[in-house]
Amino acid sequence: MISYLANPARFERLAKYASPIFALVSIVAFIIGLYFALVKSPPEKYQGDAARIMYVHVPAAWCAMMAYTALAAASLVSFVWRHPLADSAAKAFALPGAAFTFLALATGSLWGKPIWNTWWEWDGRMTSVLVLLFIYLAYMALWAVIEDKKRAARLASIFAMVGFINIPIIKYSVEWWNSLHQPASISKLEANSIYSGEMITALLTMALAYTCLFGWLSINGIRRDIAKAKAARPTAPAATATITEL
Amino acid sequence: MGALIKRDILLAWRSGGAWLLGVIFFVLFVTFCVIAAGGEGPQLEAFGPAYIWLALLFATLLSFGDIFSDDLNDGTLEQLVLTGLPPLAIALAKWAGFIVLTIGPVFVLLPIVGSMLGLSVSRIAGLALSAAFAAPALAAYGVMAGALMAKRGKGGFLIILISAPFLIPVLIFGLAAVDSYVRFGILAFEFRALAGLSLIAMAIGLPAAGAALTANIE
Repeated sequence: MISYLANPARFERLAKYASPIFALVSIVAFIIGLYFALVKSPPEKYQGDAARIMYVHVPAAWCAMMAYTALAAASLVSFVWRHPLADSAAKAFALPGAAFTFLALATGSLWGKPIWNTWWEWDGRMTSVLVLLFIYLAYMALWAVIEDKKRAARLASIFAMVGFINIPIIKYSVEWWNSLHQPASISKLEANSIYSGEMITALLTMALAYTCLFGWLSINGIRRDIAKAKAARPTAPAATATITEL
Repeated sequence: MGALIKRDILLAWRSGGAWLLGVIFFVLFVTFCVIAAGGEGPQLEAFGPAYIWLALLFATLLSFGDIFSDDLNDGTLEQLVLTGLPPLAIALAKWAGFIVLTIGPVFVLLPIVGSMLGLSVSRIAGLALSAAFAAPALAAYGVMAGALMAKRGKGGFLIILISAPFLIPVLIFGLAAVDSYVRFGILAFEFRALAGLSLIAMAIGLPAAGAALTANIE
């Protein structure tokens, strides 16, 4: 499947259909998810309505980590097989990923103010997510600064793979360090969960919406990159033939 | 590889003291911090280790750009690779050279700067030990960032942006180790964490530096 898609022309043909599908699913899921999040789901037991920011915060954080994992995987493919499409993919994942990271930090800060009474706390989770944002920025800066695109692809992919060590740190930061941030609560659903069915539905629908948004943005990013590469390629002079009569 | 380390040290020795600029910057930075903090009072002692750690961090960060750029630009690096030396060995040699030439001199001045800040002997010892445990990590990420940015000359701010995400945990544990040393000695948890960070940095940063060197030469 991956090697099938590795042909830019084939990818282009598939992307033509995949992009609007992702866009449509994302928009519909956003509408349903926001309805569930803002109207249907009950206020949280301890935090009241303030907890509703969870529905934009948690999926953003998930997507930020998913985007970096995808970026690192594409970088690995690019590093091992030197495939230009993997470069385009890794490059296209970076900007949405950075945006999700920023969104997670910003919404987390807005959530922290009413609940923890502070905008920011330098604990493991927040610091490691901030580090993730720096890694995204450094990755994009590498691409922007190195003129030779082939060399930029090599160096950026090396950097992206090294940066991947931050992802497990983010994941386990709430368990390794004492943190204000609450630990993973969704994957440990139990009978006495504080989350009701509507809340889970809202959260998962929002996660679907974010994921499809990420897919939409990154497919468009890859297509833009392919188109740019095509435009940059010098067109071969048309073959000319002159017939001379003997 | 040993010859490469020796060559780096010899080059530094004959450079007319340019290798000492890092240490001079180290002292300057501490001076700036002290002046900015008011130069007096108990907060100077409380934040002393933080100033010294920051000075060490910036002195190394600003040296990362010099690790490979000269050797790449004058063709030495290509010649070394042509001799069949694996890029990883070059990275390792540069790593060792960086520890000796850039981080090493800091230890000589640490007791002096520490006592200028009014730190107790045990805190100075804790600082020296935490810097020693962190030095391999600082150098490994420095070699990696230097190799990534070797073609860009000094790299400027970008080299700081590239290495900073990896140095943040080192700074966190390095500072925590100073306080723990006073209470628990060398057996404090933070020293093991720093040693672990250093090993991870070497295991990841040095091969990445080797790969980046290859990418820069090909």
